[in-house]
Amino acid sequence: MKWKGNRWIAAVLACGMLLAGCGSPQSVEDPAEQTPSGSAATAEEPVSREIFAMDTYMTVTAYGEQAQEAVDTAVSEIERLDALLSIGEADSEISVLNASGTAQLSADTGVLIDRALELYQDTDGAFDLTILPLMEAWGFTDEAYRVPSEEERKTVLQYIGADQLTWDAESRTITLGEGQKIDLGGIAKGYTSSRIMDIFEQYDVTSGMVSLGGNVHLLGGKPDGTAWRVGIQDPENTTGILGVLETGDCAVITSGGYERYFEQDGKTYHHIIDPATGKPSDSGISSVTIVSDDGTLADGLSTALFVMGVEKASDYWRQHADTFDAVMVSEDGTVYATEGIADSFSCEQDVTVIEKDR
Amino acid sequence: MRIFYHKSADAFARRLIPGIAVLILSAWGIASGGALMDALPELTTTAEAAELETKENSIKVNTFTDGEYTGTAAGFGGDITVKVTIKGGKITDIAIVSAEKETPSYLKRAKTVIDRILETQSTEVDVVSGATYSSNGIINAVKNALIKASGGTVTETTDSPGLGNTAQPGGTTTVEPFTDGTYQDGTYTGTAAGFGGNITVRVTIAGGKISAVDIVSAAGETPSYLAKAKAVISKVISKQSPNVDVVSGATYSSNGILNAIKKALKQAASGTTDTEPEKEDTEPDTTVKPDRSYTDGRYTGTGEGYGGDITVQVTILNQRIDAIDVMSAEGETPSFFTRARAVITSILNKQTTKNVDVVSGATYSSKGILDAVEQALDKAANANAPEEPEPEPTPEPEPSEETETFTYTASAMCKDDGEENFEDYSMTIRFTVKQETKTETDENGKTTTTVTRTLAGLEVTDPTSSSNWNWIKRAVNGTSSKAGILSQIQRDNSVSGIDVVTGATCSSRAIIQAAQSVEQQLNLGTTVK
Repeated sequence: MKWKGNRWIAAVLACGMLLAGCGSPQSVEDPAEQTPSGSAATAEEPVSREIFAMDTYMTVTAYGEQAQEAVDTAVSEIERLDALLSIGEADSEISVLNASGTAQLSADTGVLIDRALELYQDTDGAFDLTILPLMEAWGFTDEAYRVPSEEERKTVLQYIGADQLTWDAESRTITLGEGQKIDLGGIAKGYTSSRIMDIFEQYDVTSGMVSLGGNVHLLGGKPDGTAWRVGIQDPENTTGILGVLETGDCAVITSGGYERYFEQDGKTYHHIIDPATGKPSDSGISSVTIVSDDGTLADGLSTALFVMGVEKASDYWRQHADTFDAVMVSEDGTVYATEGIADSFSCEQDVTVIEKDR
Repeated sequence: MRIFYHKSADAFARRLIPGIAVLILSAWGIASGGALMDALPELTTTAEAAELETKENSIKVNTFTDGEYTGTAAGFGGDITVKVTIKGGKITDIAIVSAEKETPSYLKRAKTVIDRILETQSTEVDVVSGATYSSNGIINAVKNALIKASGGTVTETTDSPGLGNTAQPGGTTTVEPFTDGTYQDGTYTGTAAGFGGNITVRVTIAGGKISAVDIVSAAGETPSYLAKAKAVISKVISKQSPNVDVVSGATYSSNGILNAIKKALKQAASGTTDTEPEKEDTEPDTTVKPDRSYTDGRYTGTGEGYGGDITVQVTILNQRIDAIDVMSAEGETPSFFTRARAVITSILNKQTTKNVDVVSGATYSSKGILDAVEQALDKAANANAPEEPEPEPTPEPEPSEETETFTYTASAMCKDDGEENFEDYSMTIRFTVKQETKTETDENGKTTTTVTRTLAGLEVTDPTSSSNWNWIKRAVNGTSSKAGILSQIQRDNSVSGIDVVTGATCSSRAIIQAAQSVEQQLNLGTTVK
């Protein structure tokens, strides 16, 4: 997603006019001059908090006068959504739903169900919130990893399919099909990071960065006016990076099989289950990174495109090029980037650019 | 995408991981002459030592041929050469032939690793607490000797400038130009630098074509990377040229193999066979310039990690960031060190901490170590002269007759307030109050006695170590950016108005509660009579 620089262009122009008044030419890069007069000297010092939530480490960073309040509110929001959606807590709304089969949901959960079902339709089922029984069958939910038998897998597959549940958006009532359980984990962090961006804006934060277990979401660019530099994890060597994406005002979310997997009898089984086969997706992709100003979308598509494979994912992108961009790495090591971010992504290897239809 | 929520396992695991303080010494052996290294203790966790190991091959014992074999590998200060004796198929003796740049004390501690190798008849031993690099050097040198004892060949590292710094790979990511030629039938060997040492390949030319490439030795490569890098071989054979792409993520090993093939093919083109092992290319890449001008020297920096403070020491040599060593990382888990190594490698390669602001997909934050390195680099950029090593702290003055100390004990419950998954536990805290009595008589004979009571110490006497110890320490001592309870009480000389230390809320509350429960006895403050 191209970084929308309007706010920054305005700030730079404002500085330019101020500096022209001073009579001496200044470099736009000079950070001391970048801060428009009237904003606090503390614009350069970030406020940052790290917490453990949603089963992972999270960092919330903001710049600005009200950065502390913004960050504290953001952390409270993370904790609130965590309690609401967690499948690990028996009294979360989702756990209660899964236990009883039907429920009337709160507003946030309702929004997430809406988005999840949209994604399910749009991606032809590659993203499916009803995948939970399969995750349990493979032991990914309790780390009791196992390869389910053919029979068990086929039995569980019967319960998979968001088309089997009924959802009334007006009353926010959901009824699951027989044997069904849902997990909003695939979009929860993206939704949360978008909520945090809203909170930041409420507190007049113009430069912020969050990483929710690796789900990155950025507000604006850096305080000095330059773009954020986001490293994309190398799926082959997960302590290294594949390349750097220069961007802002968007979420950058990566999915890869390497994030969670187990080995048995010499075979590797990763956690991104293909809802169609009930087995770890075998589409030839090592990792997918989605860049979008819509955090929920970025989160959901990172899984969906992983399941689709390069060809289908490229087609999908062409139909939705206005809403996201992507970097994909295939198992043979080829790196792809969609046209919209090809110029902002620097990589030591050659990058194959996926172009729109013309 | 990561499974959304499985709080119990992970949050609980986090609580259970003991915060073992890690102090890794890395004074520069040559410059300091070892004196500084002897003075400071070094503690290493087994897990952390495992992270620092650069080689993971295990040598099977029962394939050794009797005899004496030498092996060389990089230690801390330079190369270590050992002589391994095999008798009756067993390792019966390991003697250090040379380790010139290792200090005697380090070597003495590291020698216990030799005892363990002999005991277990295996090189899969833990490095010795206090001598990580020397231990690794000995272990790797023994491994090299054992490879020879098994009938293999190995080309050893020569003195490398990295000084055992785990962050520097020995090889290169640059592609050496190669013009394809015509080749004479025969077998040719070539050696080039891989990630951890030299890689030697044997190229077979038959009917003028590259018909086979075998890896003769690659002892320094991590097995999983080597396995991936081997994919270049089939590419070379099908393209009949070494001008093929490296394997993504196994760049150094791939380049090592390809460069070795190129060397072999050069001989094949001229028809000469050169079986002499080549000298290893260990030229560090000096083409990347740092983004600021640094003064040579060693600088420390501290940043706040997730579990507590992280302290690093940055070495600037020839105005470049030459080495970064983690001096302490309280409360960090073993996986921290894997990430730290990666972050350090990246900083050394790019000569900047600013290459990325955040990594998409990376679960853990590297903010602590980046902040620590940046702090050190700020000092290096502003320094006119190298930083002096920290002087010994001056010992506490003996209490004078006018000073008395009193201790008070109080207990409080550290209660899980529903946010964290830990069991409530009781804490016992000992408060040490220093009371100074000063009596002054003025010219009129009037005597004034001033009694000042201050908090000299705050010690949690129970528990003394537990899974919660990190949080207790954090509450008592604070971090580089948050004052601990002890210093807050000392600053105000009062137990009122004390803030909890973020990240150790429950421990803080318990300690504050305990302090306030004995407020009257502590009686901090000054009274004049």
